[in-house]
Amino acid sequence: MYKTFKRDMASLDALFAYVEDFVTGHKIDDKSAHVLNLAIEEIFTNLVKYDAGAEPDIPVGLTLEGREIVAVITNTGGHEFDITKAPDVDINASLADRPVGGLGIHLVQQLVDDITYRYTNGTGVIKIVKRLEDGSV
Amino acid sequence: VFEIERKDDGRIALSGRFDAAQVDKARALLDTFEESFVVDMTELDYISSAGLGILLATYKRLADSGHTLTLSHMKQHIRRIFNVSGLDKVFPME
Repeated sequence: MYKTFKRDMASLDALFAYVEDFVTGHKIDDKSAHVLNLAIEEIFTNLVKYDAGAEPDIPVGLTLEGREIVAVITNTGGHEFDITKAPDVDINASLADRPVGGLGIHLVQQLVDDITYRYTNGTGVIKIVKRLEDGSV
Repeated sequence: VFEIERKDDGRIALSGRFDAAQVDKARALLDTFEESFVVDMTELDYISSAGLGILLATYKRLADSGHTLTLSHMKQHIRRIFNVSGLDKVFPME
């Protein structure tokens, strides 16, 4: 299932409602659902904050393929930014050395099972995969 | 729905969903603190990097004047977010 959201923080409620419908409809386990919500928010808000000049609509697709949740987020007319090559975060830094931002992509990288990025003719496609937890539907 | 409120015992209670759309609401209260305080996360169901960033910025500001921000009673899936981000080693926890 696909749905399109305006490139705006105000779209977050609708985005979460869309994810919730998917999670409920497919009886996704709580742990996977939590990771899915987080990954979708982090990627979407990154596109809102850092690619404001791209096409205003952002399509988000969610499918369940076997025991894998596949989420696809498409960014048309924006900058090329390969999420899989984002700089590492020093998670051992002290409070004084810790930057306030920059954790979102790190969380996505650590919590999902696979991420791919493709950029073709001005369109970036981010695909994330989260495997269902053992014991879930 | 995200809520942030000061309890009678002086603690700050977070509840619901602390996502990027809640940053201004959280900052409006957290920016009023000038001394150490405790954040009770008993009823917090979700936090993203936006929420982590606000808590971290508040703690850094307080630390500059020798104060702390302590986190308490976080659910297991919330703790996992702190673990993965390394912030479990930054914030005092009770």
